[in-house]
Amino acid sequence: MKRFTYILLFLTLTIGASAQTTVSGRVTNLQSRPVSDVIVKLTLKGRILTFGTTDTKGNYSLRVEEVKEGTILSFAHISYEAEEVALKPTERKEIVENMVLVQKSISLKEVKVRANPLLLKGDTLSYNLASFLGKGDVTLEDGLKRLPGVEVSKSGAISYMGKGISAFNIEGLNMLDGKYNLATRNMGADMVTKVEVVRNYHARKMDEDKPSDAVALNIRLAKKAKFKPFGQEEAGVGHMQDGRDEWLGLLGLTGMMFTDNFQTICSAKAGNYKEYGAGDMTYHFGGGGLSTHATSLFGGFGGGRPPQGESEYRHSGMGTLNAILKLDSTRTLRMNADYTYRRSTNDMATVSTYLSESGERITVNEQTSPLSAQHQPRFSVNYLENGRQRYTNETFTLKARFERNEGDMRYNAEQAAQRRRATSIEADNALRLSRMWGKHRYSLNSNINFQRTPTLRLSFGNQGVKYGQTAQSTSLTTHHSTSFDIRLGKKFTLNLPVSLQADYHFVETVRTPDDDRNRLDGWTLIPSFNPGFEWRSSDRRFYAGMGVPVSLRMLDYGTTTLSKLYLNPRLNLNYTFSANSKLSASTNISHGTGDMLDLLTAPMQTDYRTTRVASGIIGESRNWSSSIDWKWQVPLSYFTFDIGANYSKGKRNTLYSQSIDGVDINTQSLLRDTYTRRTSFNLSSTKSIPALFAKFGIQGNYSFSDSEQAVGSEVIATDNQSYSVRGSLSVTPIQWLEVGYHINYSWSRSSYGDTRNTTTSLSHNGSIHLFPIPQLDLSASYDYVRRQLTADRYKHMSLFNASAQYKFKRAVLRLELDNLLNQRSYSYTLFDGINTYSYDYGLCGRTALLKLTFSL
Amino acid sequence: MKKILLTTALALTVSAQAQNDTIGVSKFTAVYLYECKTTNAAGTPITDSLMIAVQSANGVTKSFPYYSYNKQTKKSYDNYHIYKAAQMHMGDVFINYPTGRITVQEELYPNRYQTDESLKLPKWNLSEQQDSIFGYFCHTAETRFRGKVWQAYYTEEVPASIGPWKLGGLPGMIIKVQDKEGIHTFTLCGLLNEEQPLIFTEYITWIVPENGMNFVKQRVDYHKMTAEKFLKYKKKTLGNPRYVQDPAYYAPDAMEAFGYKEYRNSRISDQQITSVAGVIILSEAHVYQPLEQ
Repeated sequence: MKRFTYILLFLTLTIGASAQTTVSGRVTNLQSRPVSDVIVKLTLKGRILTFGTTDTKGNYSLRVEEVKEGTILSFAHISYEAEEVALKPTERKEIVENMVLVQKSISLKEVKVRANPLLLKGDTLSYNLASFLGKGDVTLEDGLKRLPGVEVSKSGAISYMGKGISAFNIEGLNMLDGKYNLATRNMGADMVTKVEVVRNYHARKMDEDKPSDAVALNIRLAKKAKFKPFGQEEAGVGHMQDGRDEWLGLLGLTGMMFTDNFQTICSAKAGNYKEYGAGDMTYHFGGGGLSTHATSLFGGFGGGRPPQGESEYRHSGMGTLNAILKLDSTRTLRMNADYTYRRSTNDMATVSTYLSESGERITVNEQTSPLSAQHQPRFSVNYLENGRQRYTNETFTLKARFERNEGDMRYNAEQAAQRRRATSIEADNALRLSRMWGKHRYSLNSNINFQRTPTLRLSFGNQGVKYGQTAQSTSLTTHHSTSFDIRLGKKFTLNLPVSLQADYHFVETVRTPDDDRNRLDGWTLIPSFNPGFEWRSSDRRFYAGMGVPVSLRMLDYGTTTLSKLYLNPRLNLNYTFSANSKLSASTNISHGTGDMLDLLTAPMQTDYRTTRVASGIIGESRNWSSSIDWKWQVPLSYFTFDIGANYSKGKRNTLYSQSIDGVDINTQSLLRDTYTRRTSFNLSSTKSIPALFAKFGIQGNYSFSDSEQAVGSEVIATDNQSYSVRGSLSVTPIQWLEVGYHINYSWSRSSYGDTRNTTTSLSHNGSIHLFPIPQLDLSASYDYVRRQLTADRYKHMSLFNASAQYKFKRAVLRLELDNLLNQRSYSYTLFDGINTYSYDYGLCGRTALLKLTFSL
Repeated sequence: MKKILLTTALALTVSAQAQNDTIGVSKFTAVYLYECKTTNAAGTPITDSLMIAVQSANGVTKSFPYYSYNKQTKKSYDNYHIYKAAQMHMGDVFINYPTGRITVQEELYPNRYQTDESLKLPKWNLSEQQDSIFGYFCHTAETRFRGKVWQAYYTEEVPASIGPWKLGGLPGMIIKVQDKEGIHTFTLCGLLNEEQPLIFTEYITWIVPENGMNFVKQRVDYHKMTAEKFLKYKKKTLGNPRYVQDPAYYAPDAMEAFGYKEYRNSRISDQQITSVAGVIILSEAHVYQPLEQ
C-alpha cells in the first residue's frame, strides 16, 4: 500500500512537471551579437506570468504552466527597442523564440542627484537649504520660513515645532547670543548650504547624557562665504501719505567674515521706515532690556500695537560689532558691542469701562499720541570652554538705557500732560563652572548683578494742576550655587546642589506736591538645598527626575522681616519612543515671595489718573503646575505633530483691588488668600511636500481659567475661556507662481456673576508671488480682519500690500507698497474680567519705498 | 616623536592607486539613498544615511558607495562620506562576477576583505499593487531574502533588472526597497545618463611610510574568504556590545601595529578621520544592523 502511494505521488509530480511549457531562445542584435541583461517576460492580459533575464550569451529560458490565447512574450532592454511576440496556444512543451533587437539611444528620464533635502543624523535634522528655497527668497530668514517644522515670527524669532530655539550657531560658534536677526536678515540664502536643527540640544557637551527638550539651530556656510569678507549695503527712499514724516529713508551697511577660527558681523543702520535697523537688534534669548525696581514701578505711556498693520512712526538707528575667536577645539572668546536708538510715536484712542464699587460702569475715553525715545548702549564679553570634562562660561555685561516719554492725553474732553525721563545702568557678571571627576560632575555658578536708576522723573499737568513723581532704585543681587552630581551605576544619578542668593535693594519714591514718600532698603538672603534624583532605564528610553528643593527665605527690610522655609517638590518624566516620538510629563509645586515693592505703602502716581498703594505685607504665592506633551515627527516625510496639555493652580496671600473716583483709579491690595486655576490644551502639525514646494500647518489651542478680582472690598470670581485655530499653507503649483494663505480664528469669553462678554476675531491673509521672469518677483498680500467690538458690533478692516523685486547678479531692487487701501484705523476689544478695554489704533498711511540692496 | 611627524606629514601625502579591470560599460548609473535605523552608544535612536551608486554591464551589476563613483568620475566628494561608508559597512557588491558568483569588497579595520558566494538572487512575489513614486509608475513585490522580508517598488519604465546591494532580479529597476522591520531603506534619488566603465579593483597600491620619513608604494591585497565566514566574523565582532563603546576594540592600536596613522579632514563634519592604508578607523560606531542573517 505504501509502495503504491509513493508511485502515485511520483507520477503526480512527474506529470505536473512535464505539464509545464518551456519558452526559451536567444536574443541578439543586428550584428548577430548576443545581448545580455534583456528582461524577458511572459504576460497574460497585462499580468506577469513569469520573467527572467538573458545571460551573457543572450540565452533565456522561462517556464510557464500553459500557453493560453493572448500570452505575450516581451523583450525589454535599456539600450534596445522593446519587442513583443504573441504566443499561440500549443501542446508543445518546448517553444523556441529567438529575437533580434534593434539598438536605440537611451532615453531615461534623468534624475539629477542632489543632496538629500533632509538628512537625519541622530537628533540633528540637516536641511539642504537650496532644496527648499523659493524664487523670490533673498535672505536666510526667507529660506528658514520654508523649512518644514520651522516657524519665523514677525520679530524674527525662530521656533521648531512651536519650541523657540535656545541657541543660534554659525558653523558651530555662538557669536550673536540671541541677536540672530543680524545674521538671518543680512545674510543671503545663497551663502548657506545647510540648516541644522539640533533637537534635544545640550549647550554643555558634558550634559549630553541628560534629557533635554531644547532646540538649537546651526548654520553651515557655503564655500564662498568662508575666508573672505562679504556683506551688503542698503539704501532706500520712500513717501508716506499723511505720515508724521512724509519722506522716508534708510541707509545701512553690514559686513561679515567667517573663517574656521574667527567670525565677525558688523553693521550700522539708520532710517525711519518700519523697524529698519533696530529690528536687527532683538535679543531673542532675553537680556536685551534693562528693568530696575524704579522703571518697573513707573513705566512709560505706550499702549501696545495692533496685531496687523503698521501703527508706529519710527526713527531708529543702530551700530553693532560682534566677533568670536575660536581659541582651540573647546574654547572661544566672544565680544559684542551694540548701540541702539529707537524713537516711536503712534495715535491711539482707548475706551476703558471699569466696574465701580456701586456696581456702576464708569467709562473713560482717552486719546493720546505717546512718544517714546531710547538710547541703549550695551557691551558684553564672554569666555567659554565647552569640553566633555571641563565647562567654563563667564559673561560680563554692561548696559545703560536713557529714556524719554511724552504721553499727552485727551480724556472725556479734558487734557492732561504727561512726561517721563529715566536713566538706568546695569553691570552683570555670570560665571558657570563644571568639572567631571571620573563619572561625577561638580558645578559652581555665580551671578553678580548691579542695577541702578539714579533718576526717574514723571511730571503731570491736569486741569491746571501740576503734580509729579520721582523715583530712584539700586539693587545688588548675587546668586551662587554649587552642585555635585554623583553617578550611581549607569542608571542613577544623585544631584546635590546648594545655592545662596544674597541681595541688597534700595528704593525711594516721592510723590509731589503732597510729598508722599517711600524710602526702603534691606537685604534678602535665600540659602537653598536642592537634592534631586535621576533614573534612566538601561535602554535610555525612560527618564525620571525628581527633587525636593528646600529654601529658607529671609527678608530684612528694616521694619518688616520674614523668615520662612519652603519646599518646592518637582517630578519630570520622559519616554522616548524613538528619535521622532517623545512623551514628556512634569509636575511641580513652587513658592514665591514678594519683595520690598510690597512695602511701598505711600501713594505712587503711575500716570495722570492712577495712584498705586502697596499692601505693606510681603506677598506669598504657591503655584502647582503640571504638563504633559507628546511630540511626534517624521522628518523624512516632512511631517511634525505636537499635542500638549498644561494645568496650573496658584495661590496668593494678597489680592489687588481697584476703586474708581471720577476718572482716577486707585489700586491697593486686600489681605486675603486668592486662587487662580488655568488649564490649556494645544495642538500643532506641519506637513511639507518638497516636490511641490508646499508647506501646510495647523495650530489650535483651548484654555479655561478662573481667578478673582476685587472692587473695593468686594471680591468677584471671574472665568475665562478661549480657543483659537490657525491654518496656513504655501504652495508653488506652477514654476512661476507661489500662493500663500493664512487663517486665524479666535474666540474668548470672560464672565463674572451673570455677566458674560464674548469676542471673536477672524483674519484671512492671502499672498501671491508671480515670477514672469526668474529675476522678477511680483507679490501682493491682502489681509481681511473682522473683530468683534461689542455684542452686535463688528469692525471690518482690509489691508493690501504689494511689492516688486528684481534680482540682479549682485543686487536686489525692491519696491514696497504698503497699505494701498489707506486703511487708517484698527480696532478691537479686550475683556479683562470685570473691566473692558476697547482700542482704536491709528494706522500709518499709504506708503511707497524703493530699496536697493547691494551685495559686497 | 617620529611617529607624530609621520602622522603630520602623511596628512598631506595620502594617495592611492588601484589595479583595475573594466568589466564593461554601464550605460547609466542609478543612485540610491540608503538609510539605516540604529542607535548610538548612549542608546539614542540614530538614522545613518549613505548614497549608493548602481551600474550594470555585460550581465554584471555593481552596487557601491556614491563617493566612489564621484571619485571615479572626478567629481567632488567629501571624506565624511568615506567615513559613513565604513561606519555603515557598505562595500562594493558585484553580482554575477565572476559568472554565477557574487563578489563583495569591504573594508573592516585594519583590512580590506573580498568575499565570494554563489549567485542566488531573491525570489520575488510580484503583486498587482501599483503606486507612483518620484514620477515613476511602480509595481510592488515582496521577497524573503537572507533572513529578512523585503518589500520593493520597481518600475518597468526602466527595463533593467537592477537594485541596490544584492537586491535585484525584478522585471524593472527598483525605485524603493525596505525591509519589513523598517531598519533598512534604499530609495532612488538619482538616475544619471552617463556612460561609465564598470570597474573591478584587483588590488590597491598605497603610499606608506617606511623607516622614518621615507615613503614607499605598497601593494595592498584583499583578504579573500567566503561570504559566510566573513558574515560570521562581522556578526561576532560588530555584534559585540564593546563595539559601540570602542569601535576598534578587536584590533591592535594603529600606532603600535603600523607605526602611523593617516588624518583627513571633512568639509561638512567637524570629525577628523583617521585611517591606515586608507582603511578607516572608526571613532564612533552605531549598533550593527546586519543586512543579511
